[in-house]
Amino acid sequence: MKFTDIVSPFLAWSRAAKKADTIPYPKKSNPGSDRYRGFHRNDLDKCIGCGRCEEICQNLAISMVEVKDSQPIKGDSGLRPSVDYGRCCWCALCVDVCSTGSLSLSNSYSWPTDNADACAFIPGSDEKAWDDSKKGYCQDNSILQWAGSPRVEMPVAEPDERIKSFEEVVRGYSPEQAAAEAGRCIQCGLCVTACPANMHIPEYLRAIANGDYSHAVKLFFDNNPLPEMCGKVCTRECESVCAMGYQGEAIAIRWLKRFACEWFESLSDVLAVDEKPLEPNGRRVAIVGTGPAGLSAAYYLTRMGFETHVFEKDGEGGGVAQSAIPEYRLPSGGYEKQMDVFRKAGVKFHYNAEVCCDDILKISDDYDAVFIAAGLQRSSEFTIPGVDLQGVEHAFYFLMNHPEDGSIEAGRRVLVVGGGNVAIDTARSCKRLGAEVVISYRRRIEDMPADDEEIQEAVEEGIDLRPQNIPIRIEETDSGLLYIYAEALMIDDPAGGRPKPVRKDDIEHGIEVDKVFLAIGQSSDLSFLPDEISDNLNIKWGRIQVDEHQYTGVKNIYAGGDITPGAGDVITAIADGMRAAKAIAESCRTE
Amino acid sequence: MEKQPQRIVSDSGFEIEVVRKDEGYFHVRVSRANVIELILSAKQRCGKNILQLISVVDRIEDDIFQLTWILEDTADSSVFIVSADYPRENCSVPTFGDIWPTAVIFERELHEMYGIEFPGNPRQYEDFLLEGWKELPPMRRDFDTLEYSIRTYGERRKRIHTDPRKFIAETTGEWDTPVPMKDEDR
Repeated sequence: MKFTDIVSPFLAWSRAAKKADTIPYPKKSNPGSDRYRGFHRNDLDKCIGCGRCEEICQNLAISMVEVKDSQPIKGDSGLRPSVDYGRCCWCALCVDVCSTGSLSLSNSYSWPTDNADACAFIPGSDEKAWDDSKKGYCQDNSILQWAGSPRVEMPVAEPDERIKSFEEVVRGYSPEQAAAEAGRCIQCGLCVTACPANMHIPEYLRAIANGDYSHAVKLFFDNNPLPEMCGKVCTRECESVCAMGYQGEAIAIRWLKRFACEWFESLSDVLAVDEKPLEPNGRRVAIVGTGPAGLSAAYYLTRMGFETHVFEKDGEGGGVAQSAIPEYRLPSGGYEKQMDVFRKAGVKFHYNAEVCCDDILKISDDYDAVFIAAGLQRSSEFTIPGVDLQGVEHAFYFLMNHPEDGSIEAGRRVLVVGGGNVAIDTARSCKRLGAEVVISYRRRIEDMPADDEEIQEAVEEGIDLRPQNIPIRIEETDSGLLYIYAEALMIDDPAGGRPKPVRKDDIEHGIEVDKVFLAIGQSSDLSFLPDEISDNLNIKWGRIQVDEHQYTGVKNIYAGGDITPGAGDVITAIADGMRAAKAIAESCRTE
Repeated sequence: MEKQPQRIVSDSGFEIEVVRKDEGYFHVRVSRANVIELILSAKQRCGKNILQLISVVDRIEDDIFQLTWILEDTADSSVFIVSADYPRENCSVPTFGDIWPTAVIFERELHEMYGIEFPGNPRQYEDFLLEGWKELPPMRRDFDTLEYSIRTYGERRKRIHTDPRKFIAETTGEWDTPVPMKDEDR
């Protein structure tokens, strides 16, 4: 017998009061460390169903699935990740690349079951004990640096330079810049849910990234016959929901569309629309107005074999979008390029052809369908005292008269009332004509309907932006006009709407100017509709009400664009025209 | 003893690229022919008495393994890092098991995960984590994890999967365009 055999039992007893090294029994819980990578959690309110987690998973452990009542809404595919723990290797790459940071791993790792197939669930949807746990592995933004490269900035002219002329502010991407920017797209398709025309955005971004610009242009025309215009002035709802924008910067979808269109001198050559004429179907459609809605309907109807006649009261087409948006945002050079596509596709244009009451009745008899896309022709009235004074003008008419050709005097000191794109366009145009410009707006800057980029560029150009100014009246003075306003306080709307401006006090302030431009909205002119038609139309607030197919309810009459309720932007009008074309084709097919 | 390895770098007589130098931190890249001399010099002349880690990066695009030895001086926690590139094909790297016994363990793991040979390491062929592994070493980038997973474990369950892009297209009616262009027309 060895000596240690004698003393060992006593040595063992010496550990009786110390912490045991072995697993205690009865078993106690043994939680994972604070940053342990255990079972998944998903904040369903933050998750947008982009599928990036599924894409990164090397083991096919994650599958995007439909959950109860899931439907795509703007910016959300409606799908959610389901995790199969028979495949998961707990690498947490899914957490690292999560677009919104909704996905995380709890520190729970124990799930005893005798059914291997039970070890799969939809985090966040299938309730689990660890859902509310704060511990585990969460996204580390320092790691995300590799997950999302920054947006390629669009080169623009310097403010001091650009106010000297109406030359386009945006300089455009180089092919290398376009490839780098388009290559950032993760191809989730959420942008499609936000685009009114549901353009094939991920596919055309991939085509641009691959340098296949003609393929990109063809994809544009699937759902948008005015891509060059949209590439410059689109309201880009797509970018507002871009998955890359949650923790970085959204893909510059609008600028990439601009790039691909600018690459070609002729879009009709790319599309070869004239080389593949479609078999005429013997049907004729009349379209009133050559704005984006009218042109969109005309293009798609013609491509489907309709004989399409477009009536325009002016000598040129393009509607308000082409006429009123200044050259520095939408150069007229691109207009002819776009119209070439319509002409070669076979659309028949009738310029200086104003449609009046009798014409509409005749047209509705002569044609199989009529699409009314006359737009908003009038500037809304403003009712403060002094709006009739000389020197007070409507901004909308000012822009429609092409101030860039130098034939209009802007004045030395100009004040623009309003906060929409018309107000900003007027202010920036006046600045280019040499005026000192003030914009007076009732609400806060963040409430302005104008595009954020436009507002920022206006400020860069030295335009004095004065929010929370309530207009009181305009007076005539020896040297010009005196614009009287009061300061505003913002009061929350109990109904949940935008905060409302109310006068802060009785103090009145004045600004001496030469001209005041009113930019408080546009309204429709429906006087061209005869009573026989207008009595049967549902018209609210000057807009023709339509169903989801742009149908007015009056036989064979459809309407779209700004003359119907909607966002009032180019892409919505294009989508209206496309929907109307589909509906007219379907109606003719079933007749 | 010189505490900073600056001197051995300047005295070495062979080309050394300084990757990064900082307080208590010195990272160099060297030709593989000079790895042993540099590391032994660091131990003997600079007091780098601990081999903290050996790591490998599979730079498959360049057809090399990048080996990195991290040495530490326990007196002041300063580190000296040596990197060198070795061809991936039949990769053979000298062992430091005779100098630091812990290297035997590190090298055994690297052999199992990357297939790198360490001639002279008496235990390099023993299983480390992967008992009975017969495949390509799994940390090599030419090892197809997904293919292995499917081949070995099969489809555990019928995978219900919906592609977000297609789901969005179908539910928004995106593909139902009025101009049904075929792919060859695009």
